Amino acid sequence: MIESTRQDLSQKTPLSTLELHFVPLDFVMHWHRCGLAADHFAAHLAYTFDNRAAARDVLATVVNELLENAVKFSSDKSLSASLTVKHYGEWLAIQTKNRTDARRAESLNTLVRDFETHSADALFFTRIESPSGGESSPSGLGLLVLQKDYGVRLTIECAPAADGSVEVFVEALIHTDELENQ
Amino acid sequence: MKLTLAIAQSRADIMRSQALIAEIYNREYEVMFSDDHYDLVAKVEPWPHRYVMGTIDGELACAAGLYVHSTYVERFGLIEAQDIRELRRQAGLPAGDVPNREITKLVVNPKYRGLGLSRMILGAAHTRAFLDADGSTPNLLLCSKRSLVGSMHHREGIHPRVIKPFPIYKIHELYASPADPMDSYLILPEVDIPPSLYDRKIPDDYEIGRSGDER
Repeated sequence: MIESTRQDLSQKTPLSTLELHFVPLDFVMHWHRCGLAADHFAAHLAYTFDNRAAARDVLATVVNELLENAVKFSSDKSLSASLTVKHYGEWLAIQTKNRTDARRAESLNTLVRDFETHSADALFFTRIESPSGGESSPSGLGLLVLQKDYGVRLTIECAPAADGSVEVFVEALIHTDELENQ
Repeated sequence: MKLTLAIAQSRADIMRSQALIAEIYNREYEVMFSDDHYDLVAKVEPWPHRYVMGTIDGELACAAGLYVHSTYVERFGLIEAQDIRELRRQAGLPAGDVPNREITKLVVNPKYRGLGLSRMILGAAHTRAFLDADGSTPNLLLCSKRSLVGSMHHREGIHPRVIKPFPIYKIHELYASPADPMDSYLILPEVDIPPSLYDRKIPDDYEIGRSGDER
């Protein structure tokens, strides 16, 4: 279902787009900037909802999680990364792109396989009991919470880049009706 | 090759020092930084308040920071004022109203490793010019793993006094280990730092070579 939704959206022009290009090191230097950027994106998007406070809270949480992950899992913190939010009316697509190395990419791929083969609930409790963690071995707990508690449909893709690094694309799709009624 | 050691004064030099420290500490230890909050489980550390830096041909080659208050050892080391007073007494120094400061986040730009810059920046960080901004000789606190004190401080003639073992926090999981644990130390500049080092002039230029010896 998520694949067909993504395919449909890829044919459409977003109603609005907000994009941030950043150097991950800036966020490492002042970690609070992740929350500031997430709050800004969330407040900007919340204007399109009736229940702005609820929308802002959910969006700030989702954007912050994706942004923090993009910063943490960038292998070279000086290489540009991006955060993009596209509003399609019924769906919001929150996307991050960053570069990483083969080792971290393999950890992410393992995470993706776990997401595909286990329910979010089951995986959540497994990770709580035996967390991995650290930049080289993400526990995925934050992403699991987004899926389990916020109805986020998650896509993670790793593709080789020309310079030998790996480009990581993460997308969180949220249905706008569900978001407002969380 | 000429190394210029100076205290970071401008906003630009402070930002360059922070960028080098953040890059290296994040890559080696997965640490993030903040001015206004810290979380040793989430690996977020407070920024130092002052920086000393070494430049080669205008490029930042090494840096170190200084907490001038709210030191790491005081915040997280679970030490008491009495611990410091007792060590001062043992050294024959009066207790007095002495500020606590702490040298921290000593880094060398990977491009300039192998030149002995860690010794140079460690020395610069232990000068009166860097430590005594207000003219008062401080209690200099230090949080370090044991191997570094042996390989760095003792080589420069600096003799930190052990206060007590530093507690174990997640943030140090890639830094210390059971085989090389961390301790809280006290350095009393009057007696623990060689006067030739403590009184070294900053800013100043030094000739350095590949061997790492200053000439």
